[in-house]
Amino acid sequence: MSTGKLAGRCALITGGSQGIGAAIVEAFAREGARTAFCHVGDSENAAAVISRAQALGAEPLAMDCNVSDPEAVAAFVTAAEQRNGPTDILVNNAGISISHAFEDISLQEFDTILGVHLRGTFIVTQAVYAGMKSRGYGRIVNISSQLALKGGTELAHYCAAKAGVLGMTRALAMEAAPHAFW
Amino acid sequence: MTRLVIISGAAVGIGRAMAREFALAGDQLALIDQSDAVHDLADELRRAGRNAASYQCDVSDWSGLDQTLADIAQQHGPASVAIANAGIARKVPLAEMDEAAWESVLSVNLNGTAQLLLGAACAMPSGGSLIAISSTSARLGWTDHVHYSASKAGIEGLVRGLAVELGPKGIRANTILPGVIRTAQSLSEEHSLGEVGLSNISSRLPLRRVGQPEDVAKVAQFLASDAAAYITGQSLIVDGGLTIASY
Repeated sequence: MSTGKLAGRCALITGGSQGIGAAIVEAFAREGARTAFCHVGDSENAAAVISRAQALGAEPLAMDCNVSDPEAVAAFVTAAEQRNGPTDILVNNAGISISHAFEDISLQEFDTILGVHLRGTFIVTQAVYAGMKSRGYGRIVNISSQLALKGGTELAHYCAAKAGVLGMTRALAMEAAPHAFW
Repeated sequence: MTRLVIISGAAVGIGRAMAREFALAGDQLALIDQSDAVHDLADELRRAGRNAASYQCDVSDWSGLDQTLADIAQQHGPASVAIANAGIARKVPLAEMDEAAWESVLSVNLNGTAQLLLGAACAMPSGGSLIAISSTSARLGWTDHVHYSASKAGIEGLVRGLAVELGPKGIRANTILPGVIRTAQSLSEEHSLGEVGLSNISSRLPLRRVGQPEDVAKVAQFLASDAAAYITGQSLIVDGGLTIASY
């Protein structure tokens, strides 16, 4: 049931072609938000999300964008804001998971996991934060995991990344609050 | 379908705000308070076309609360939501903390919460939502209020236990931890922060204001709703950033 509680709001959702991200795109569409989402090489699922959102009367923008790449993120945010308007709501949902025994996690794999979850959350948030701050309105939702608080076998890098997201969220919440982020 | 919502400590502050918010949303209310002001509140809500019944009862009186819950069940049927909100704060320096001082706070804040939630859960045959109002004092020390902190921390343990045990019956249980909220309790110079304390703290909060009772009431509505269908055993802090701030 729609109550239109996000009518007139512009939302960015990272990792929106599948799973939780796709459900968020659809829920926001149902509530009247103008949405844009990114994915990595998942055009088929992205098209399916768009057609489901269209059935709800929305027209999301979908783009291929790896959130750990600042240039790709800048292009995504620019395209989204040109089409939909300034970002009111950001949902950092993009994530990947690779399981390896601790001794087998390569530095490259560690960087990849941290890159999407932690660096990616930082890059996308920074790309929209200054605008939110100057307009005095912003909602940033970071999707972490229960594994931010618990151990997970063969998931040391994933757990570290998700715990990092929690720490950054708390710090940004404190820093952003005086700038009318409510 | 109209839900029956039981709220303790409903006559003032956060409890009163919750009564108004749930009533406005169309719920049927069973309001409990030790003060007879609860009857005036129910009258006021009924005059506004809302559905509210009132029960004067001290939640630290186990048999009295049992009787009240039995009366509510008999008169209105099973409850969908029960909110244990009744609580008191008493400033007692450690040197003066005796059994009577300890019990006076624990019996209302912890025993009263346990009794209300347990009693209400027994009358929820088709599932429901239990909500307990704790405090950020469950996590932060507060001089002259060790009994208050202990009682509020105890609520979190109680609720986690209830959530695990009642989950299979379709009953969710969650805790709200309000921070500094402008209520008669927090405005008490004798037992809490007082007006000056509230204004001093507001400038140090990330959101730069103390909370209003409605800030907590809306979170209770969320936890009681289907939007929170997969949330149980959790503690939700509603404090304007008090507990995440480091200065």
